[in-house]
Amino acid sequence: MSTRDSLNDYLDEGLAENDLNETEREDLKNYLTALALFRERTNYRPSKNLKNNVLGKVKKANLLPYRLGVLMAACVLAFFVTFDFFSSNVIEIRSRDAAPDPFEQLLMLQRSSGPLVYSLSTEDAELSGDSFAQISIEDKLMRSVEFLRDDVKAGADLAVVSSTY
Amino acid sequence: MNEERLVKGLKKKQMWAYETLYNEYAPRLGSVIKSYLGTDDVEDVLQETFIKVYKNIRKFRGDSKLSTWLYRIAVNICKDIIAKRAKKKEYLTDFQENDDYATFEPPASTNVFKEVMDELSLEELMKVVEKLAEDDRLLIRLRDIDGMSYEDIAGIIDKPVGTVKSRLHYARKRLKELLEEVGYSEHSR
Repeated sequence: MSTRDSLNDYLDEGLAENDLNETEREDLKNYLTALALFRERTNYRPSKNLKNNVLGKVKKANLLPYRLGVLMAACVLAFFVTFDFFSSNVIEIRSRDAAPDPFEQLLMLQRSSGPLVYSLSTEDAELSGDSFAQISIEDKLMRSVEFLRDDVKAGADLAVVSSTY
Repeated sequence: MNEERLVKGLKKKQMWAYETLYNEYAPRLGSVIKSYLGTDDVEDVLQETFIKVYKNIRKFRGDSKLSTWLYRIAVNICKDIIAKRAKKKEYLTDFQENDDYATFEPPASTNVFKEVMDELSLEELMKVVEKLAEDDRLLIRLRDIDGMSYEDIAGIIDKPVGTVKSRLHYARKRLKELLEEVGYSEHSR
């Protein structure tokens, strides 16, 4: 029976095969055969599918920052559009019986104050020196609800005209 | 392929670098993973390895070879799987031949009986190898089959060179003993 050292010496220290006795050579052959079989059985050839999967995931990860950037830009744009809409729209309240005056509507579109019953346009408020513009949007909306309650009861109609669009 | 250029390309997230890395290392890594885990999870581990390379390449400072770093990532993922298995108390061994892998052909012979006996002997041999601990299989794979240096292996498994040498010597001794236990011999085939 060979000692552990002869096998390790052969594999690591470069001991010559001639220096091994019969038993040690036998052990070495068995060991090398086991190694050869182990190598064959555990040899791996990756499939094309795997390559596509791996590189596909890398590509996706590469594009992620750009996608996030586009998403953020879209959110910022949506925020500004919404903010702009609510800060510059106008709620017109008029009597149900009154026919809409096209000229009046044109004036509204041109941001004129016009013969309106009520106006929540912040720009109009600023022009008239009203401190209304200083009130927050939320307060304005709450106020507009109050308006509606009273005026809808009185038979008024409601139209929203945005002077921006 | 110049390693420095490849690492630069990897850090800049260039696709050609990842494709080159895959072509060069996927077969080798796959073989090591299969030797270590002995299962068909090879593809999953390989995918996870390359994704980890993508995420952590900026941390690679070049203190070791790129191959050593790659092997270390793969081995650590394998260790995590083994730890999970131990928790679940699963034991999977699969050294079955697969269409994707190279098959071992027994030596040609006109004697059918001898052919069958050869096949049995080879199967017996594989069972012996399977009995080795995962870490022993890994060391034998890296050193005796892939021909890595002790320093590289020490870098992969994160142990001192002396420890690697003694563990490998023990692994070889263990394999030899297992071969003797089953009475396997080249002469008896």
